[in-house]
This record gives sequence, structure tokens and C-alpha cells, in this order.
Amino acid sequence: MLVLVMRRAGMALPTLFGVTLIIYLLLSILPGDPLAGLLPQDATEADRAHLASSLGLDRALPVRYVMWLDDVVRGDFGYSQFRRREVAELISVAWRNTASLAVYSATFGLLTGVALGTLAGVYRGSRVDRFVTGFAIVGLSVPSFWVAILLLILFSAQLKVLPAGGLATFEHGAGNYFAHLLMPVLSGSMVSIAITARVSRASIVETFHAEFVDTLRAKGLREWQVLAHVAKNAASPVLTTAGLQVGFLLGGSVLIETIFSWPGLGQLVFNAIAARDLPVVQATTMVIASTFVLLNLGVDLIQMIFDPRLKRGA
Amino acid sequence: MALRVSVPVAEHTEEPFAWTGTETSHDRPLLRVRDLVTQFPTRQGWLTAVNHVSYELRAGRVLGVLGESGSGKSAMLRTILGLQPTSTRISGEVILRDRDLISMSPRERKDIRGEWVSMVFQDPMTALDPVFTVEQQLVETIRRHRPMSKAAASERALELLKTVQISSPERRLKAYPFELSGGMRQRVVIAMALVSSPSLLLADEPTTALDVTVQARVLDLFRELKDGLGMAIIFVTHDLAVAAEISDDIAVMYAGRIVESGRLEDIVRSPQHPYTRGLLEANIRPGQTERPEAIPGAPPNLANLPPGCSFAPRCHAARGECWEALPHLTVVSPTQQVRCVLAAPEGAR
Repeated sequence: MLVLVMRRAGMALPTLFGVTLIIYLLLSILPGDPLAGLLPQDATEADRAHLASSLGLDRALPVRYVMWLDDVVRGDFGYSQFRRREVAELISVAWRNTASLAVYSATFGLLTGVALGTLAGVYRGSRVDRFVTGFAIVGLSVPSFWVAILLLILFSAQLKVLPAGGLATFEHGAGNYFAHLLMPVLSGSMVSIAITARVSRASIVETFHAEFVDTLRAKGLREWQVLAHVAKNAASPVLTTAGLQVGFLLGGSVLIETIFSWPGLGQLVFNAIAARDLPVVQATTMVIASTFVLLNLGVDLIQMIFDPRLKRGA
Repeated sequence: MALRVSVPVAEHTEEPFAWTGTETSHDRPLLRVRDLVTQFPTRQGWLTAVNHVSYELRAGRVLGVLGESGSGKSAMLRTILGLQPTSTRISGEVILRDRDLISMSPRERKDIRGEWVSMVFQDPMTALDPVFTVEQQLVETIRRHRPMSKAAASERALELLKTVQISSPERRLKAYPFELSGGMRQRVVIAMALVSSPSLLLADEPTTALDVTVQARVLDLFRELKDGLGMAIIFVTHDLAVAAEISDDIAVMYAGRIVESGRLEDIVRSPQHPYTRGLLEANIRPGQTERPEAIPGAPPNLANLPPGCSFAPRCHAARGECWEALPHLTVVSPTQQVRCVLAAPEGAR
């Protein structure tokens, strides 16, 4: 078991290495002069060469990549000339904000989605099923920013019961903290609810058709016992999509964070792209991609708990 | 008489079943199926999978139900067990231990499943839950029927595995189904069906998915269980050789109806129905050189049965009257009955 976990974790390393390579290369071949925004209008060629060499931009691309990678491994993501801050510092603040939003959105979205999907799957063909299926289609088709704007109009502009944006820390009081979270979480988790509900419904319905379910019923098991068996068998696709959902949420939603002025990763990368703040774009992309790799690793390990065939077979 | 088939003369008319008052409960058959009809809704209307089937079965006997795919064998077993979807239309009686299962509440039926009657399914590869160990699946079944500690249930699970003669049972208990061979899995499925020593065991082609050698050993096991535990078994198969190995009585099903029934030796020695003869001829006998004779054609559409004998379109001996009305049941001998106009009644020969 431990060997298997180590082997699977070892497989994540080359993936992460590939991620760094692709991100660095893609951003280096991007058109546009990274120095242009940093130099004053009247800078001379000498000034330019000086800045380039101080930033290491006069070296060959592979050398620059290795230097960058060396820094990244040590947790140094460089310095943002634009924000005049260490990139690592910018990211750690933004990541924490995004993560707090993501944890609530994921918990709410995945739990609601699984609950709705299970209900629909167990009572397939019923009114509950039709409602959930319809809701899932709406949830997937309606853009989350539109929901966000509707929520803003209703709860902030009209009813004036919720703050229109920004975040509050826990020291500002629990009520205040959750009031700021409520609308971003609701609008941000819409898609997660819809996708999770659809996937869990489909998986549960399919599993109910499996022949072992007949055996369970033939043994005289109660319906909740049958459902427990079905649920464990149906877990795999739900876990896979759940991992992706958490990944998306941890990457920060540019739209949701912009609408609710939530100082997270989405907003950080959005502003960095607009300002051609290369080190920040590189670092945030790196963080988001690594999050996905690590989440997939986590999901694979959890899958082993649900399906013993993965544990012993491979 | 171990097996008696009673089929109403005309469809949809209930033939009074004569139960003599002199019979004590000891003589009474364990299972009485009377006029059982199972219909599924389809776009073309109601599909009659089980068509006015009646028979009796005593404890310790094995009834082999023989027929090709789609003849209603499995549907009949699932109806007895109560596994049919709620959209199914079921009528008739299934009287087990003097209780009619068909008129029971779903809750009562659930309590009886695995307790009085249990089932062994065709494919052991898919009949077990892949993500639970053998022990977990046995223990939950045991505890569902007999409240006891997990440790005690594990003990019992081990005993059951020994009963079904699994090699190194302690190790198999901890195994997941995918770690067992097909034969071992089927033994586990059988063990699961034996948990509460049911009076009636339904076996739906339990050896079909197994290799021939494994098949023979699983058949041996069934025979030992029958003798040792004294339960009645309904053994459904399409394979005459398998049916001959295990059955005391045979019922031949065609298009949802029982067309012929009798003791095993009656059916094998003097088959009366052309369909039964066809089934016998389709088997390869030792020393046979020519190709076995296959029955031409295919079974009829169960959603739209012809008024006469359902086998008439495929029968080489069919004549005018066969197409007009369902043949009466002919009593060929005290132990053999057939639903064919060609059969000579008892004493007429």
C-alpha cells in the first residue's frame, strides 16, 4: 500500500517538472517586451541593457529557465517590479483568500451536488429527479457571473442585507465574515453543484443496474444497506470530477473575484496580465497548475480507499 | 407425486385446485405455484413472460426448469423472489410454507428474502459487490437475518465457506471478489444464499458462466447441499445435461408456459412434446456422428402470442387445430403431463 502511494506520488514529480517547463517557455515566447513597462520613456540603450542584465534577461533561454527553476524550488518566485513586492508574498496572501472561498464553495457545492444527485438517482424518473436534472442544466448553462450580478442586485442593491464585496476576517465577527462569503460562495459553487449532481445521478443510476444489486436485494438487505453498497461503487466518477471542481475553485475565479472585489488569485493574475507583470503571471500559473497536480494525486489516493482493486491490482 | 402441473384449460379462467382435506401439513408440498402470471409493460403492450404457470415442489427435491433464453425461466424465479420492478403485473399464487408470497406486503417479502427463499445468480463475476470483502458481504447478510455480534457473524461466515468447500477459507474471507476464481466466487454466492438455511433455493443458471470442470464440481456441491440441508431447489438451465445431473423433476418451459413436466426419467425416456424432443435431439450423445438436430425458427414474440400452441410455428407435426386453441393438458402418466394435442392420454396407449 505504502509502496503504491509512493509510486503514485513519484509520478506527480515529472508532471510538475513538465508544468514548469511549459509555463516558462510559453511566457518567454509571448510577444511584447517585458522591459517596456519598467523603463522610463527617455531610457537609453545603455539603461535598457543594464536593466536586462540585472534581471538576467541577457542570458540564453535554457540558462534563464534553470535559474528560475532553482529559485522556484527554493520558494523564491522573484520580485514584482510593478507591485514592488516579493511575488511569493503576493501569492501567499491571494492564495489564502482564494482558498478560504474555495473551501466553502467546494464543501457547499460538492455536498449539495452529491445530495441532489443521490436523491435524483434513487428516485429516478420521479418529480425530484426531474427537478434536479432541470436544475443541473440551468446551473451549467447560466454563467456564474450573471448569477453573481443578480444576487448583488437583489441582496445588496435592493434588500441591502449583504455587503456588495470585499472580505472580512474572522476578527470582524463571525456574522460579518460569513456575510461577505455568502454571495461569492453561492454564485461560485453553482457549477460545482450542477456538475456533481449530474455525475452522481448518472453514476448511481448506472450502479443500480449492476447485477450485484440484485444479489443484495435477494439477501433481503434493507434499502439503505443496498444504497450504501451502491454509493461506494458509484463514488469513483464523482471523486474524479470533485477533484477537478476543487482545482478550479482553488485556481480562483477571475469573474467572481472581480465582481465581489475578492483579493484572491483570480484577481491577482487578472491584474498581472493587464500590467504584463511576468513574474506574477508565471508564479500564479505555476501555483494553479501545481494545485491541480497535487489534487489529482489526492483524488487517486482517495480512490484507493473506495476501490480495493486499485490498491491490490496495480 | 412430487410434481403436479395444473394448467387451466382456457386462459384467464381459474381452474379450481383440488386440495383434499385428508392431506396433513406434513404431506403438503413446500411450494405451490398456482396460475402465476408475470407481465412487463412494453411499447407493444403487456409482455407475458410467465404465462399461467403452476407446479408443486416438496422439500428435498430439485425441480429442473428447462428452456431456451427468453422462455420465462428467470422471470419466474425473480417473481417468486419478489425482485420484479413495481411496474410489473403479477397475478396468481406462490405459496411457500402456507403463506402466499404474492399477496404479502413488500416489507414482509423483504424479511422473507434470504430467510425462507434465496437465489444464486448466473454470473458469479458480477453477482458480488466488487468493493467489499467476502467477509463483509457475508457478515452483513448473517446479521440482517440473525442479530449477533460481528465476531460471531464472522465465525458463522467461516463455517459457511467451509460448507461450500472453499479451499483455505480463512484467507478467502479477507479477499475481495476480484481476487477469487469464478468457481470460488460462485461458492461464495451459494454460501451467501445459505446464510439462514432457506427452505427454497432458486438457482438461475448457476453453472452456465463456469468452465466445464468447475461446473461439474459446483453441481456436486448443489447435490450435496440438497441431500445435507434438505432444501428444495428450483434449478433453471438451458442445458439438458446439467438438468439431468441434478433434477428429480423437470418442467420444460416454452414462451412463458410449462409445456411438459414429469419425473426426470419420464422426460428423458419418453418425451411427449415435440419441443422437449427437439431439446433432447439438440444434445450431442456419445458416439453420435451426425450434426445435432436444431429446432428451426425462433421463439414467438411474448407481447403478441398466437391464440393456439405457441410452439406450432416451429413444430414439424403441427396441424390445423394447433393454431386455433391452446392445447389442453394431457395426463400421460401419473407423473407426466404435457400440453400437446398429439400426446396420447393415460390408458389410451
